[in-house]
Parts: sequence; C-alpha cells; structure tokens
Amino acid sequence: MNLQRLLQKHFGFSTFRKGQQEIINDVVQGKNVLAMLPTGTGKSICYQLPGYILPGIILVVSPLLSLMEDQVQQLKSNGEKRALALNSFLSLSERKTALSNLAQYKYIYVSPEILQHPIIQKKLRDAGVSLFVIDEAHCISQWGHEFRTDYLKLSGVREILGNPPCLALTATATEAVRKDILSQLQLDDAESHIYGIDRSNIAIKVEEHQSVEEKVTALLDYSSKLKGPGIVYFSSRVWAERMAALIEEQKVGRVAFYHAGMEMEDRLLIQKQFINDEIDLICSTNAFGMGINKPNVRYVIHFHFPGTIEAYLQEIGRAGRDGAESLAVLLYTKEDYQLPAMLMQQEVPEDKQVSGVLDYLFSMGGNQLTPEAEKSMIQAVGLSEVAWGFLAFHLGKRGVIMEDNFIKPFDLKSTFASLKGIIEERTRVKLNRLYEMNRWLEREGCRRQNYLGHFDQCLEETPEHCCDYCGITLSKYEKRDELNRTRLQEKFLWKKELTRLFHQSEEVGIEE
Amino acid sequence: MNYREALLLFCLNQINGQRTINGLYHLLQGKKSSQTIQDGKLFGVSFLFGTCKHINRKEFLETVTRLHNERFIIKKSEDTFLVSEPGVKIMEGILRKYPFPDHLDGWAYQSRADLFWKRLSLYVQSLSHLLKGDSNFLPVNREDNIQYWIKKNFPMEQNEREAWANNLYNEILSLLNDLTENESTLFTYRLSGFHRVGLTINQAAGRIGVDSDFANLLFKGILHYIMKRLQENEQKYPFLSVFVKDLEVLLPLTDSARKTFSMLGKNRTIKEIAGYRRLKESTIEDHIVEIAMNVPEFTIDSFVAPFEQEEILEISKQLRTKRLKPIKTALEDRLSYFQIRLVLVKEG
Repeated sequence: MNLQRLLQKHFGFSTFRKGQQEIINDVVQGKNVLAMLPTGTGKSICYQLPGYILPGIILVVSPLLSLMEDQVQQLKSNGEKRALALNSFLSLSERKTALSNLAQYKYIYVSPEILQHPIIQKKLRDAGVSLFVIDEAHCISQWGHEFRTDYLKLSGVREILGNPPCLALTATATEAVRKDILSQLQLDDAESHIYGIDRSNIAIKVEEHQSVEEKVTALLDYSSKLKGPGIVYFSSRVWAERMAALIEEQKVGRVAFYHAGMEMEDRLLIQKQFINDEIDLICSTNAFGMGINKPNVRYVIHFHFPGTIEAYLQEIGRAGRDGAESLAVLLYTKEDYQLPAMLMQQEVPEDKQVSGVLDYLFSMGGNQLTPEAEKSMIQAVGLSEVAWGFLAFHLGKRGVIMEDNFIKPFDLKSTFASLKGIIEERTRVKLNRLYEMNRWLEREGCRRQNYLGHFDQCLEETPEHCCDYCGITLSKYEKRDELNRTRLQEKFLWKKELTRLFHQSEEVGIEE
Repeated sequence: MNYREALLLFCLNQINGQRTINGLYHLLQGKKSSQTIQDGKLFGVSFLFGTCKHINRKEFLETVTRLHNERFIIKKSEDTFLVSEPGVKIMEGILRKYPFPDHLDGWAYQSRADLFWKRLSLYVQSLSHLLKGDSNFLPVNREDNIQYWIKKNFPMEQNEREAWANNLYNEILSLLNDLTENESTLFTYRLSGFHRVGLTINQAAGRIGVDSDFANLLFKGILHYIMKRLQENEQKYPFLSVFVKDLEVLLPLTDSARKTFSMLGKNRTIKEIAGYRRLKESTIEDHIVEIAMNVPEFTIDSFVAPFEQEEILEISKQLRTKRLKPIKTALEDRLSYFQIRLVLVKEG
C-alpha cells in the first residue's frame, strides 16, 4: 500500500510531517503504539489514514465533546461521510439509529464515559474495531495535567472489544506520564514514537508587570502592533469580553471574543470567521483553540497563564502551524499566581460535600444506587459531575460502590479519611504543576531549554528567534503596511450583499 | 441604562409584583409550562416568550440586583418586585427610542422561528458554497436533525440549485423590502455564504450601532414577521414555505388539538372532523377554542361572522361580564355557547 498516495488522495498533502509515516507504518502492521508529537503537527492523520487500509472501525476516544465534533465535521467536509460522534448529547432516538447502523461508520469518536455502557461495547465489538485510538492519552495518568478517571477504565473496554491494536496519542507528556500511560493501558509491547515537542518557529517572550493596569496597557500595545491573526487567552469570560471591547475601541483590526458561555451558533460563526481571516484577533478563554485547524495564527498572547506547562505549550502551539515565524507573549504580575491557586482549591470537593456523599451512601448500605438517586444526591450536596466522578472512582476502588452500583456497608470514618487523603494528594499534584509553571516564568535562562527540561528533552539547536532571554527582534512580528491599520471597510449594502450570497447578477439586485 | 435593564423593567412593570422573577425568567427562556403560558397572556408579555434564551440565570439575576441597587425596582417580597417611578420613567424613555418590533410575537412563533433560522442559514450557506463548486466548507450548524433536513431537501442538480438560489433570493428580497433599512441590514449580516461568514447578533449589533439585546429582539422580530407572512400567503413564497411546512407541530397546542388544527387547514368542517376522528363535536369545538387562544393568526370568522363577533363583544361590555350564560340570554339564544366562547378567548 502506498501511504503517500493515500495521503494525497484523502488529505490533499504531498508529504508526511515528521513522525507521521513511521507511526502509520507501525499502526497498519497491527502494533501497539504510543506516539508523542508536538501540538498542531497532524496527529489525527496517524489514525485517519490507516482507516483507508484497515478493514474495521477506527474507534477514537476523545476527552472533549467539542473536539469530537470538530473532528467529525472536518472529516465530513473532507468528503469522508462515515464519521460519527457518539456522546451523551445525542438524543435517545439519534443514539438508537446510530447504534443500529454502527458498522456503516469508519471513524467513531466516543467519550470515555459513553464507552462504559455495555450495550455500546457490545455493538462496537459486533461491528468490529480495527484500531483503538486514545487521543490526549495523558488524561489517563494522575500525574498528567488533565486526569480523567474514566480514562482508567479504557484498558478493560479494549479487552471487551477483542483487544484491537491500540494507538495512544499525546502532545504533552513527561516521561513519568508516558510510563504511566503504558502501564495503565497494559501496553508493555508498544512501539514508542517520541518526538521533540519543541516548536522552533514560535519565539517566546515572558513579561513581568507591576500591576494589572500595566498588563492592559501592554496588551493594547501588542494588539495594535503585532501582525495577526492572533489569539489572546484570559482566565475568565468577563475579562475576554472586556478586553475585546477595549481593543476594538482602538480600531486597529477586527476583534471578537469567544467563550463557552456563548450560544453554539455564535461560537461556530466566530470560529469560522477566524479561520477565514475575517477576524484578526480573538479574545478567548481556554475554550477556544482545541480542534481548530488554522495554519496561519501569527501570535498567541497570555493575559492570564494556565495552570500547567503542558497547557501553556498546547495553547501557544496554536500559533505557526504553517511553519512560519510566530510569537508567543506571556504577560504576568506576581499576583497572577494566586488566582489559579485559589480556583484549584475551589474545584476540590469540600469536607462538607464529601461527608454529605458518604452519609447518604452509608444510609443506602446494601442497596443499589439508582441513577435518579445518584443525580439527586450530587445535586443536594452541590458537587460537580467531574468531582463526583472522581469520588465515585475512588469509592469503587475501595469496594464501597460495587458492580451495578450496589453500595457495600462501610466504615464512615476511615473511608472519609482515605478520601480526604486522596483529594489532598490530588490538590497537591495540581498546585505543584502550577508551581512548576510559575517557576518556569521566574527562572533565568533560555525559556525553551527550560520547558524542554520539564519533558526530559534537550534543545538540539537554538533557533534564530528563540526567546526573550536569548534575544528576539519584536519588529519582525509587527505589521508592516500601514494600510492594514486603516483598512477601509466597504460599505455594507444589504441588497448588494444578498445578490452576492445567492450569486445573482448585480443588476437584478439593484432593481426594486 | 442598557437595553437589557429596560427590558426587565418593562416586564417587571407589567407583572406588577404579582409573579416572581423566577416566573419571568422562565418566560424569557421559553419554558413551556401552563403557568408561564397563562402568566404571559395575563400580563401582556407573551410576545417576549422564549426570545431571550441567551441570557442565563446568573446574568438575569445580576441585572435584577443592579436594578434593585439603583432603586429602579423595589422589593415587594423575597422574589417579587415593583418598578419605582424613576424606573418607569427611564424605561419608557429607552423603549420610546427603541420600541419593541411590531412583529415580535415569541409566544406564537419563537420555537418555530428558531428552527426556521437554523435551516435557512445552513441552506443558504450550502447553496452559496456549492454553486461555486465548493463542497469543502464548515457548516454553520452541526445539529444532526438540521443537517439531515438540509440533505433531504437539497437539490442535486446544478440547474435546480440555481433555481433555488434565484427563488430564495427573490422571496427574501421581497420580504426584506418591507422592513426598515436597519432590519434588512441586520438580517443580511447574519447570513453566511461563499464570500463571507455571517455575523453573530452581537457583532451585527455593533455594525448597525444598536445595543445587542435590542438587536436580538429586532432579529427575532424579523423571523416572526417572515413566519407570519409565510403563513398568510404560502403561495407567494413557495420556496421559503418549504422551510416551515412541517413545523406546525411546534405550535403550543395539545396533540389532539393539533390534529384538529391541521384538518381545519384542509377545510374540513367540525362535523367532518368529529366523524373522521370519532370524537364528539363538542370536543372538536374545545380544540378550536384552544387553537383560537394559542394561535394568533387563526381566524374565527368562519365560525362566527365578524358582525356577530362585534355584537358579542358589545354585549359583554354592556353587561360587564365574560360569563357565557347572561351573554347568551341577552342574544336571545341566537348564537351558541361555542361561538361566544370563541369570541371571548380571541379577544383575550
């Protein structure tokens, strides 16, 4: 089979990017593979292309709903109609239809949660899975930056599906996490393809400021000077909206905000406008970017920094996917460290909530926890679903929640103490990762070398435009033509616009 | 004061402390419970039903708190409020400048209008791209049922597609011609096509220079206006009508009344419907009363002649009653209970 030809035919590329061909070769030979490729370098091709060679279904486990949908939509608009996203947001009838025709699909994206359903497992097994793909595989490790308990059950599911070959993909995993991935998935025999995660075409600048006001001024300055398209990340919706409005007032380009509180229609429109270069700058929360394929993002600015180095690399990795020179700027004050630390403490279930859950389960000892009871319990206690998932997982591990959700009578005091210990440990891990991020900001030396060290990698060659420590020339990333700045917007005449939308001749449109 | 605050002041003033803010929130969200429905009717705010789904509970409560802090509203009990005099004054000033769109009728149209827009926007986008031979575009809507509908109704042949584009263009142009410049511009901005991605309400509002909550109502009003025109004159807009034909199911009616409604649309008489459905004629009459109450564009003229309607209303006014029996007696039993009920509910 000529991989090159398939690549050209189905994806329109004439050459493979670094690592793709080697990974695909192993995958189509039925080997288990762990692959780490830098963000934005075409990880999805590593399992999408084998779909045209392997006989059965390519099952892709993906942690984020929006990511699944982006991928399915991209496959569809590439002319691949046999793509499906199976998630809990499908209506019952939609899910039924999909399930009864499962074998018709080639690419099935699933959330780890939905993969736990026995019916879905059975249908998938019957339909035949040729490749079991775990996207964002670092979610499986509690040392990873986005630990998801449902990921831990995946090796069991894989067994039920008849042990199809497994491809675990990640962009950002330290060596410890990679080891953890292999052991959790029981992939002792896997071929590892680990590539340098450095993106040498992204220059890195970190700037400390004395106050928020100073940061705002700096951002306004950058947004008027830098050549777009660009993304600015904020930690909250309010900030994203407020700064978008401030930047817009400067009239230096087309600005929009984006966050998960917006309606679906608006989110899709903004994404599309950005992809089509109809927007120069997006002010966004971290909800923006995952699954968005835009090659020519020229800069990423962090107005607030994320909680881990991994997340930071993922976010700046949205710049320069076309390989051209790009810039990442991070603005921070000494106080910025406190907010994410506080948020992390808040995310953790409180003692009151944990004991609320335990009291309830204790009273149910010997009985089954029905889905309704489960729902009303987490509502009464005020737990988020993620937090409950975390508790339920550890209660399952302790044997308190047994198969079919039966509750085994248990000792209240020791269970509470054990859960509390686990929660504290988890918080400690998270705070530690935030601390690492912060340390990276404050540390002397080459920024690039410093973050690579975090992943046990070395900088092979310092790029010409490396970082603020090694020296970069900002003017290189600034707008050249003043024309851009004062771009005249063509006056919008709705009748004329209507003729363009429907491809009518202009004469017809002017007529009354 | 922004438009959202004025809008809430208007609603709170209409409700006048007789319902909780929670009820108001449900109304703006379009939550269909009989209580919301009756409240909407009772307080004259049903035209806003389901038109502000984008305002979440947190934002809603924040606005209420702001109004309260600025003393535009006064707490009557834990979650009921009265609008203060300054509140009424400032609200009226804003609504004078930015009046509610004439056609806005959330109660009658919003749930259908929502689907209509999703279908139309995706259809227009698809036509616009495919006529240029571009099938490689990201759709503005990803809902399976919407994409499925488009697939089912999308012409395969290029010349058919051209005909659709031509006809949709003409129908939309003729509808928009009857609206204000601002409205037509807003609507057109929101459509996506080959050369341009549509704007969000918020973006389009900025371009036409109005508050985005006002632009939202303006936009919903345009959709409601289109729905209304399609309903009144299907023959004049055969292509756009395709988008709403199967949406009758979304009328706020019980299932049984809906069946009656659709048979009435085929010009069946009460007797025929009762016979066909094996129901009592009085049941069908109950359905018709329900329809008259809930479907504003439904005319009752074929059941009660217009002059008889006036007569009934006149007597009801004279006797100062809405009770059926005294009205019927005053009419010397010339008209039936059914006819009197029908006129009274229609008058609301």
